[in-house]
Amino acid sequence: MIPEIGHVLLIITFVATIMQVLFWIYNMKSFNGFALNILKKSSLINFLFILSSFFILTYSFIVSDFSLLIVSNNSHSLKPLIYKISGVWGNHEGSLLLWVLILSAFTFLVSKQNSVINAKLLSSIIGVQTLILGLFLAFILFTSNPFERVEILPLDGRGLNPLLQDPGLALHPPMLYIGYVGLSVSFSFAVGALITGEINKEWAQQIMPWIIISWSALTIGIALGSWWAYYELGWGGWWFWDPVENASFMPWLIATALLHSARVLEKKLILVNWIILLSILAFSFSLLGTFIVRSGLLTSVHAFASDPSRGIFILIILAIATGGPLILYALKSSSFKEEKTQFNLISKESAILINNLFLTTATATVLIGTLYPLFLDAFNGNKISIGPAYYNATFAPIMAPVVFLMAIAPLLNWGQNKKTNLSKKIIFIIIVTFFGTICLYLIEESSLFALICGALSIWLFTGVFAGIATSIKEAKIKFNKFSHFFFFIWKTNLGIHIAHIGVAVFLAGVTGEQFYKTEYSGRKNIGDIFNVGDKLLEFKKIEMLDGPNYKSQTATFTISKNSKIINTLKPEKRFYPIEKSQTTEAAILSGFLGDTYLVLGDGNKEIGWSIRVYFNPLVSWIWGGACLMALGGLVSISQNTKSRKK
Amino acid sequence: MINNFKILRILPFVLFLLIIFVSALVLYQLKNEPKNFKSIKSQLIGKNIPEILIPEVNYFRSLNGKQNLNFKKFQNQIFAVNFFASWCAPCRIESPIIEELNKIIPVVGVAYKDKFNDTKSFLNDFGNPYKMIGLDEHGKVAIEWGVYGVPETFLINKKGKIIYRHAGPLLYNTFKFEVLPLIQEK
Repeated sequence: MIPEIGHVLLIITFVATIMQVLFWIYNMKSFNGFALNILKKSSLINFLFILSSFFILTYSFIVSDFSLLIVSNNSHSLKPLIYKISGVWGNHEGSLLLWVLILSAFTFLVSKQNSVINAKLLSSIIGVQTLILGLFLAFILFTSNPFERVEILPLDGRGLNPLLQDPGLALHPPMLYIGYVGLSVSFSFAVGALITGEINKEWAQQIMPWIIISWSALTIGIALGSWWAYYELGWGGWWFWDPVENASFMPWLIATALLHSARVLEKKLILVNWIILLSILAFSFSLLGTFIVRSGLLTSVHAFASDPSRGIFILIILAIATGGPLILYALKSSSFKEEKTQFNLISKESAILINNLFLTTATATVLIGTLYPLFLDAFNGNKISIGPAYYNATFAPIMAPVVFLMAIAPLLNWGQNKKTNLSKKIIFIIIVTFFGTICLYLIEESSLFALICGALSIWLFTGVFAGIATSIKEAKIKFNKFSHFFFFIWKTNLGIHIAHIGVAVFLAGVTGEQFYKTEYSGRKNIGDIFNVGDKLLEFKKIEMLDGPNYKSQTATFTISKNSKIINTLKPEKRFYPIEKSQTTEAAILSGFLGDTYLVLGDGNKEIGWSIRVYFNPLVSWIWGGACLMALGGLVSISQNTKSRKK
Repeated sequence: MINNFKILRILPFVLFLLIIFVSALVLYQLKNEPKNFKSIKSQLIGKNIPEILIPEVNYFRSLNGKQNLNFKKFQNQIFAVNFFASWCAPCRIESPIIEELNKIIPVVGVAYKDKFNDTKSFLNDFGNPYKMIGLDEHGKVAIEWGVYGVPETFLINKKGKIIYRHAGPLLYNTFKFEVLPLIQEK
């Protein structure tokens, strides 16, 4: 009975969204406060209804109601509670419900902004958001109903894919979806601007927090996914250029470009068309990502659920939600008025424009790499897959100039460059980078690419610190009082600097992982002692242990350096009897300076076990860097709201 | 800047249409003929067979799980490895061809994600075309071999390297024009 209530709530909301959209279109010409109020109220009701429906589904998972198809397919009565809950979005139907829940929440939050956004724009924003909500509700109700019952009641569920029973991955979809769906707000802002034909600096200020929230969430979401792949899949890597990873990375790249160019618009009314286009594209790429993951169009290790008929439905949504605005863009974007200014080559806005060009080119490269196999398949039936070799050759060189500029751009001024000792600072950065790179070369000899990558990281670190120093000097802050510290955060664009340091940290991690790692693989038996790099490993024992819902084969290794035992590593192979599948739990000794990563393979007492060992220097910096980027985003939101109130 | 070229404004939409069109085309093909992986060349071609242990099973006596499939028996001769399952309909179709193949070179069968008793009754019903059979209960061996689905057939040369891979049921034409020439050549 209870699940039926959830289903009915979704149907009511779907019908309501149709009526709301019609109401919006009907009133579009003459929008008044009363009509806007109705739209605002209805977005609250949409949100509450979907939230209740989501709670009902969660409840069904918690009490293990196996009469529901998705519960019996994805849950089991013996599963730990947290994975019962994360099981709600660990499958296709539930994850879509989470998608629309977040969308309705965002719509409701935007509708609360009526004191800052003008009525005509706000009504268009709510209208567009509701239209997308309706499309996705239709998708859920017609192709992926989460409340479908089974005909024969099973005794117990089939369990959640054990690979997904992991704390990192429990949070990965919600974060990613906040990012994806958050971009719908800037999308609706852009469509709203196209409909009303008005755009101004306030528009850019209002759009900014939404872009930053979704960008930060997307950063965290992607980082969580990569972290999960690193320690759970046991392949020893952190990014595989898999179509599904690319699907989340492309919206991130576009959102990064948008984030920067919207800052230009806050200052000057230029690049208007470009920013509108980016806002539309960012969300379109999110939809494309959803489409790629959910349709099974591109086979991938990550595609846990796929179905061609669902793919067609998402394709229709994509066509309406993206095609419409792009036509509108082609027709109406020339009507926007822009400031007539001269572009100064050495200024912040031109640096940001160049950054935008590189970022969009990078997105295009990833898009081509992701879709090319599809194109080839459609035209001559050849199946190929595009791997890291393509991206190393194309994507990396495009991003290098971005990092190069990132160090200098914050030192530049808007518009005409005043005399700010720019050349002095740049000479300083060059000198530090030069000596840093020489040190790097002396510590460990390596390839040219390693040095370029390392040098870029040092370059960026130095640039950011020069930027912080400049802003401290300009703001004339003295650190003799504690309160000045907060003043410092507020005055110095600290958020931007933190995010840029995040990139430098990330780049250092990538350099370490890519170019300085040592690797060993072979077959070893109990009692074997062997060298990997400068460390000595000993295979102590192997035993069978019981976990809460799995059995585990656990090996014990000791690791020593200079005949001193540093640590013990216990890699596992887990067997989940309910799901009848096996997972590899790599033993990872994480440190600030690097990880020791040990994977246990197949084997038995007679011939030994195959094992793989990696030393990955600085690898944790990759995710640390991503966290810093997101943190920078959050700090800059608080700055943004403060300065707006002022 | 961009303002001067109004025709450019339509470009995003055109590119978008192209993507939608191609995606629809592929989806349409996907619907009509379920995934066709036959033409993907295996990554393993030219490489040694994956070092992985498959419990050998003698279906006509009892489960003999202690022992592992020993490919060394076939050293210095061409042999084939065929992944199959009792629940797989196309495997029934290819069964006579596999039997034919087994008359020329030894064929090792690996039962993929299967249960002992199911495989046994399958072999009773359709005949046992294999020299040797292994049971890959959880489909792990199949992952190491890069198997997309059952049935799938691999040819291994005298040096223990994989020289040929065929996904899907081995039909008479493929057998005659692709597999036989390879065997006679070496």
